[in-house]
Amino acid sequence: MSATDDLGTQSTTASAGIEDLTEAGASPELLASRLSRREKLVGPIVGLACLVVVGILLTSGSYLSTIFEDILIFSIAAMGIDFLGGYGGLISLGQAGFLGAGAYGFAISEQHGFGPWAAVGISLAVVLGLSLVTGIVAVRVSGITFVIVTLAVGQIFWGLCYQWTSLTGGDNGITVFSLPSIGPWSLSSTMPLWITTLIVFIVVLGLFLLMVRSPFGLSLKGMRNNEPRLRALGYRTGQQRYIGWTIATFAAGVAGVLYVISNHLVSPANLTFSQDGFLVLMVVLGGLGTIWGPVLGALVVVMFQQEISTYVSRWETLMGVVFIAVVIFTPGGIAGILRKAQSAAHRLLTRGEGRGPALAAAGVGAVPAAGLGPHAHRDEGPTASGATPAVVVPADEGATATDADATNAGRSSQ
Amino acid sequence: MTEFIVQTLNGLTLAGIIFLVSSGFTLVFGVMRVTNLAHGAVYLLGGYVAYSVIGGKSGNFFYGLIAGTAAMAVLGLLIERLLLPWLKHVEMAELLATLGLVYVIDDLSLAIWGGNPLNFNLPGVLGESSVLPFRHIVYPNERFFILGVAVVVGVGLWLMLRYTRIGAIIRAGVDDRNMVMALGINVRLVFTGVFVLGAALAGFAGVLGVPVLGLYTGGDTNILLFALAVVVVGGLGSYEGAVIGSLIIGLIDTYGTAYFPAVAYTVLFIPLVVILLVRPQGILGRKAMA
Repeated sequence: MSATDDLGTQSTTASAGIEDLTEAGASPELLASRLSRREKLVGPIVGLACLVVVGILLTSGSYLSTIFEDILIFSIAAMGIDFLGGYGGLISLGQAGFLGAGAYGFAISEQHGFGPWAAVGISLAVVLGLSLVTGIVAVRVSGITFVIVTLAVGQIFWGLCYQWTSLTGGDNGITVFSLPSIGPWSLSSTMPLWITTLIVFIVVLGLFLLMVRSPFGLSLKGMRNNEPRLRALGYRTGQQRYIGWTIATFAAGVAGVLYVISNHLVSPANLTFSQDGFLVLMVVLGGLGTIWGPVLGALVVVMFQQEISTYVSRWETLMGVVFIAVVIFTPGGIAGILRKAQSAAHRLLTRGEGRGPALAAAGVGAVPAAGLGPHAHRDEGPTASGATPAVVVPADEGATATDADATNAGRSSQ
Repeated sequence: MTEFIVQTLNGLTLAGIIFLVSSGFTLVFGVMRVTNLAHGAVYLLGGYVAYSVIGGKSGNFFYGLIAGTAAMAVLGLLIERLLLPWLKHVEMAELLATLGLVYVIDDLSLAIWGGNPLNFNLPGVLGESSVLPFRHIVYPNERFFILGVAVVVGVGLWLMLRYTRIGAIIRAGVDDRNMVMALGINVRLVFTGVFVLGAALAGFAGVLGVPVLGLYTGGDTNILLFALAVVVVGGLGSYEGAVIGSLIIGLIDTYGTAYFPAVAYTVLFIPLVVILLVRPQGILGRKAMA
């Protein structure tokens, strides 16, 4: 908590404008209460999730540990989407491409005679390079066009992996044999592998949580809500987007390296449109704009793939239907449901207690992105009636979103 | 040179199919602002329905064409009437819901028609090949037929958009949706009509595309990407842009596959990158759409 508060004070200059940029109509008290609620929620849930994972892994065979590795690995990639999408308003449908790039980078380096650690380094460097290059194109557009362009970028990677058979082994993919190790700590054995995965996961999660509370994260969110205004305040919004894109895609690369180490195999199947979709599904199911939500989403999606598929042969249909239902009925995904439950409990417990204005003053600067912009109000309000679609990007209402997007895009293209 | 001519003809045929798909996609986006990611899945399903109706080599291709198109028009109607109203015109929610729909349609198609590639050909003289008068190039008639149909449909749609009242309403919808609503036009009906038209075009293209591209799981992603590349290059919402975009994407993909097979898919996206760097709203796109 104190760390966040420090960040908050440091960022007062940067976020002075954002405070009133965020959601018009949200009073400081409201923002503060949301902050405190969210702060209370994040710690326990993440901690609990980690404990559960560790507990199950410690007591289980390698099959379950593989599943949980997959969950953690996909979470890392999904958190990248959430960082850029939930805070920056730019939803990427090409994230699996970068996951694949990380995995192929490792596998191809090894094939060319590099040691496992060198392969990790090369792979991450390649992913970073690809992020920087593709970012030049991707961040020139926003909204729907961004989704389309990222999809195309992801499919370029898929096409390369599928068609460039001399380098990538084509449809068969590449199997990796030697894995990184430090002395006896070898990633080829189960225990060190999942502990390493867990550590990387926690580090990435922590970094993302810090980043969305940092001035940079706040400026991303401000950009989502009102880019022209942020520009007027002197932000180089294009640059911010570019950095955000690089961070998000790099996370997918990290996930990719872990993936190939964990699964010993990477093939074009890891980069398909369907995989891109799964990652976005995780984010939306879990709750956009929360960072930890996608972890829950990944849990659900991987469970669908690995567990429910043994009972229901048409699990993809079921998952598609569940996903559509989430988009329609539960804005904010699982995180939104939890938050609602939390605030209901909070109301019950603290009925009659006043909320400290001091907290509001101190906390406002460090308010993290409160989920899906508009939903934030709807979650708080007593009028959260019926089905509200999961608005993900900028938007206050559908119609005005179009206009706002149009303005932004128009300006950025000048 | 002969090779080049054949590849150009292949490219034009592919462009024709891509155009039928992307014109529907771009019209739906232009008028309704709905990004229908299930457009490719509808294309594939149209082909599958036709396959079942034709039922083997002996069946009548044209019954299949009618059935595939009609079935997808009905599916479009169902999506527009039953799914989209829940999403209340929130663009990203519509995009995500249609993404969910992709999994449903693909998975059910897989359950019904299986994972093996399927195919059917055009009947009679259309299934044969003719020798071109110059250089004695032998080229399948079905490809000429497909190209011809695409051109006829394309010109027909263009005339409809340009010279009929409905076309004027659709164009006005692309330009200024709010104004159209304010003029007392039943926008609800226009939306339904455009969405059904888009789905029918996708189904139509799905049937026509089978003799050329085949019918296989994952074919929908391929065609969706072509369509998306076309609309980014041509300009989201622009009908004429879809014509230009289809020609560019169809030809480049064909040349790429023929001459640079290892990187064909990457070559395909070069125009996309160039356009985004030079003119992010697309060749004929308006800035407000980008």
